[in-house]
Amino acid sequence: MGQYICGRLLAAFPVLLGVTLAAFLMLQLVPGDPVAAMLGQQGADPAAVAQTRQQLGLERPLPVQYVRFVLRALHGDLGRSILSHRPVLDQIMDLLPSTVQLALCALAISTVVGVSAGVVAAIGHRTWIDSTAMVLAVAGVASPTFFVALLLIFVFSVQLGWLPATGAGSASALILPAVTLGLPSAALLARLVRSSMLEVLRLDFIRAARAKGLRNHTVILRHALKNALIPVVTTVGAQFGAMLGGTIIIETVFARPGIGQLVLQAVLNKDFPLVQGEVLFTAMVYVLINLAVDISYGFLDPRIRFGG
Amino acid sequence: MLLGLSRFAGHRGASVGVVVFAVLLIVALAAPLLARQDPLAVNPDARLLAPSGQHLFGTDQLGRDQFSRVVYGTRVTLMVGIVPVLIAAAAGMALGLTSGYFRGAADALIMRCIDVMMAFPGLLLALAVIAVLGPDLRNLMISVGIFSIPLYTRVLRGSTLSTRENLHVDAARAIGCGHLRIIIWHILPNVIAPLIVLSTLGMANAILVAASLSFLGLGQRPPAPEWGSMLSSARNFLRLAWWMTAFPGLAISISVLAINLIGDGLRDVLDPRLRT
Repeated sequence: MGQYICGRLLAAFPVLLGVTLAAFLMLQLVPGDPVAAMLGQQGADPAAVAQTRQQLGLERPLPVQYVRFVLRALHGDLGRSILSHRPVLDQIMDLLPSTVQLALCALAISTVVGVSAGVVAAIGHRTWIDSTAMVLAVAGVASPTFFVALLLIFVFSVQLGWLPATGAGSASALILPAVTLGLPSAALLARLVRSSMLEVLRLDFIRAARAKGLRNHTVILRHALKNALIPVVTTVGAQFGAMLGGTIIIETVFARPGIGQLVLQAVLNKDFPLVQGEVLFTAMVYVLINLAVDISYGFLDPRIRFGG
Repeated sequence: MLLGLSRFAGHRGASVGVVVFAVLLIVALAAPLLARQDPLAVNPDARLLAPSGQHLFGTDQLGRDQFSRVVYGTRVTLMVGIVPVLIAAAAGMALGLTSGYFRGAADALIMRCIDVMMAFPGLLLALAVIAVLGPDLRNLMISVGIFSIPLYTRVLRGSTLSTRENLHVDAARAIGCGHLRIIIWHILPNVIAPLIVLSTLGMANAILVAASLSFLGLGQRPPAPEWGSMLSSARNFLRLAWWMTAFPGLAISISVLAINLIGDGLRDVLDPRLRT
């Protein structure tokens, strides 16, 4: 087991390094002079530009700049936003809880809805239940999130007035965004669980359990489901990552504060240090989450641990 | 080949998909004929009108005819579906084939780069590219293309790895064929099938991603008619003008669904092993 963990850590390390390199290069690739952009008005004055470049250490060779960038990042210094002049990390940390809340809620919803739908579809195989569920799942994946979001807002907010469309204060404000964020993931999970269940239900040990005289729902829930859930766990990391990316749209449509909206505004405002810092932060978090999921997968499926 | 074609035609979903896609293609090509009104024409007297005989899809807040805008938007959508896929397929082929065939250091390097690209969740990678290049249609297509490269590379690498083990490749090498010849004549024909399936499904995905980026304001600037940015404007008028949201949104969903169905059909015909 320890060997497996070490292996995953070693594999993650170059990726983390690569991510820092990519984030660093981002700023280098921007056409024009980011320093001039940063200074704004004063950017016209070559002396001021030169002085700022000196201050920021931009005169040093690239590899040196890169190392300094990484070292600063390790100390929590991701630079300062051009617009707000606040440290990037502070801004991220202010908005992070809201986004995490949204993502976790969406993950919970998608798991519950997706797994249930998948199980129901598998049980109702070859009936209208299965076909309906699959049609919905396919449609769920085809519709763009922002369209679904607007539809839900229209139905539940505008027409029925049950739920608020924007804002973040209350639990009810969390429902629509979380559902919208979780739906595509739920659709994917439903398909996955359904095919996984169908495969498991065909196996011999299920026939044995039925032959023993166990009631159908015991067979399904106790014996089949556990095995069918294995592929679900593997996709959890990817789902969470997709949600992190999806928060950009959801937070914009529902006017919720969060790091998704933060990075979008930063891109629109050409606030490069903020974009860079956020890209670095989010990518790091995603890599670490996937690492954690990989390791937990080792705990769940002994075949992985022992090189099966 | 004929067997494949008949299987495809028998696949109900795929046939529907092809019909819908054909309609989209016709609409895009015949846009000036179908859309009687100028999609950019502002008409302050005709603001926020519901769908009617004169304005099939209603008008928006500036009095522009929504039907014309949706029709002309089809062109952008199809372009934005095709170009990024071409970019990603070309790059994916080059990287995937090299990585899978030569293995060793090249493989390790390429896969590490791909891992780094996949380390950026969801739209973030596309967003970062646009942040660097600036928001316009060309950069939108480039960024969606780059965003899709990792998947193509991985799939093609996988196919190359398994094709490589085939007997005819060994035989070719035994008679002294050079690497390039082997790759083009022996490996490539076997990896085309997954590539086609991936490209079709990738086109649907490209349309979705591009629409999302446009919705966020990172693509073509208004007043250009594009379904994603139309939905963005529609947001503010949800209460007043449901038609501004409904039609572009449905257009996107239907297009994506049609292409997905075609892709599923192709997959069933070309490689039943890939079925879920």
